[in-house]
Amino acid sequence: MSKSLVLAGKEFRSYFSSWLAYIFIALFVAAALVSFFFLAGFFADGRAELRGYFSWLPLTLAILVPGLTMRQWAKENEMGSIELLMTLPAHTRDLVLGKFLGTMGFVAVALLFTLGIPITVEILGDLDWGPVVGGYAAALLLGGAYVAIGLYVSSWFHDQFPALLVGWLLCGLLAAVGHETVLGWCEALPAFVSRTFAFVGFWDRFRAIERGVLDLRDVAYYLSVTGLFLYLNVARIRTKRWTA
Amino acid sequence: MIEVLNVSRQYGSFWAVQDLSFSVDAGEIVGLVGPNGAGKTTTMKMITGYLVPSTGRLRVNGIDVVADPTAAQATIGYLPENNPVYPDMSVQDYLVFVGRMRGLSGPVLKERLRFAVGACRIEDRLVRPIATLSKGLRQRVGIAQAIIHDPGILILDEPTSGLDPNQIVEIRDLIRELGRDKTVILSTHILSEVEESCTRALMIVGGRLALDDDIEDLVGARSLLLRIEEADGDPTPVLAAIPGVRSVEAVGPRHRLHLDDQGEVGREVFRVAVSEGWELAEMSVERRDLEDVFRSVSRRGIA
Repeated sequence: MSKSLVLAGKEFRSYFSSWLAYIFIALFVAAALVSFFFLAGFFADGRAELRGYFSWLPLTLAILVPGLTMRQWAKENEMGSIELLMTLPAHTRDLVLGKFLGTMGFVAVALLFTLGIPITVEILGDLDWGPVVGGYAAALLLGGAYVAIGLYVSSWFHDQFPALLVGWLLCGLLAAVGHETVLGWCEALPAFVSRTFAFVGFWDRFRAIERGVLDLRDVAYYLSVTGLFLYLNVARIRTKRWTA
Repeated sequence: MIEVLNVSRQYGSFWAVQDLSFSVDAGEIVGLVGPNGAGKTTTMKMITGYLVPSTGRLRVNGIDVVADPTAAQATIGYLPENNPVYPDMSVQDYLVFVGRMRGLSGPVLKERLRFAVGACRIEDRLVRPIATLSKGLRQRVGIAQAIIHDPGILILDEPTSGLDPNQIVEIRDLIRELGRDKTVILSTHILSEVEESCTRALMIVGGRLALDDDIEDLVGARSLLLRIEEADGDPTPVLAAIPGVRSVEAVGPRHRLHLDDQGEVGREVFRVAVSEGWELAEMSVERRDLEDVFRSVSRRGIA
């Protein structure tokens, strides 16, 4: 465990050693502002709520996170430093957990920068902070699922770019299949298809938190997806000892 | 103490290492030599627990590397081939990271950092990003990383490859110094390097052990070449009578004395020359060339 924290600290710091980190945060905050003030019609609705901001998070995080995770394993594979990591006296699960926590730290920082939105709303009107706290907790859970998926994808590549593309594809698909539009298309198909999509997809699930309730089933689902992909990641790294 | 027992490793249908067995005792500096693609790197990757052997067993300090890789890895310092580093990190951040991953912290880490940095003479580069260092310095950082936890065993895969002659000498000196209290396995395809740094040579050809010998036995003085002038009569019988001389061969104006072992034969030759009234115009010790030894083994293939 302590070794995963050492690795997490290193990965977290190394994000900030590149100007890309600041561009990412700026883009993320910009996307949050646009989705909140314009796409979700905060001014038109005239309600002191964060609905709009949270409802677009499954998409903005699906775009942001693969950009963060793409390099994690792919660059180790490319530079050969994977060998250094794997010959340090640390269990594979500690390495995977370290990379996960380090990236999550960066996601948390990016989310922190959007706190300006609820604070602004609080100033303009009387904001109910309950749903906001629930929303941020759900955003972290959602981000965790994306990070786990992105890390796993990254472990398959020696090059960051394909890891980014496949990461976008997987995260985007998971977000999209739960979207009401996609679910609408499925109406002609047997009912279990749309039920499965609604269950698997992140979009519809995430809308639940707009009501201000963090459903335990949703929490369990995000955590299961995260756990599954972290597990697959450990398995993938381990098999390198046989196949590399 | 490293034990490699009947180890084989397969990549697809290709056997990179076949039925390899050897053991290295504490304090030895072993040179792993052989042509490129002979299986040196694969062997080192298996000893360090990065690769699992297809068959066979590996033990490091009595610990089974396959069964408990982390315990074995804790006692090994490893410089992988091509010295992978994190170029964005500063030298200090990198060494501290590796130290922490190896369970060091607080004053112990500080002390070990000071030692590693001092031994590798990179004290004045600590805050520089690794990316800005020359290849020789980068190699020192790689070695500093490998000794940060004071391991009993050092595995260095081609520590001098790609360096210029000055840097090679520096790295060799460093390895010799570290080898005083550590067991070292280093790989190289430069044979003189083995002669310079190692106490023992292991040659791998086609994934199999082709030669395992002490360096001294391999390259020790085997003959003396003399040119004698102003001799009355043939000096051959007199030379052959010197203790330690196995036989005498006339090579043009010179005589070659084949020796039993490296003794004080040279001194005795002088004494005889003086008492016989010969003028000794030339005397040189002929060492067997490692290159010749290896070339003949390589050509012969597997013994």
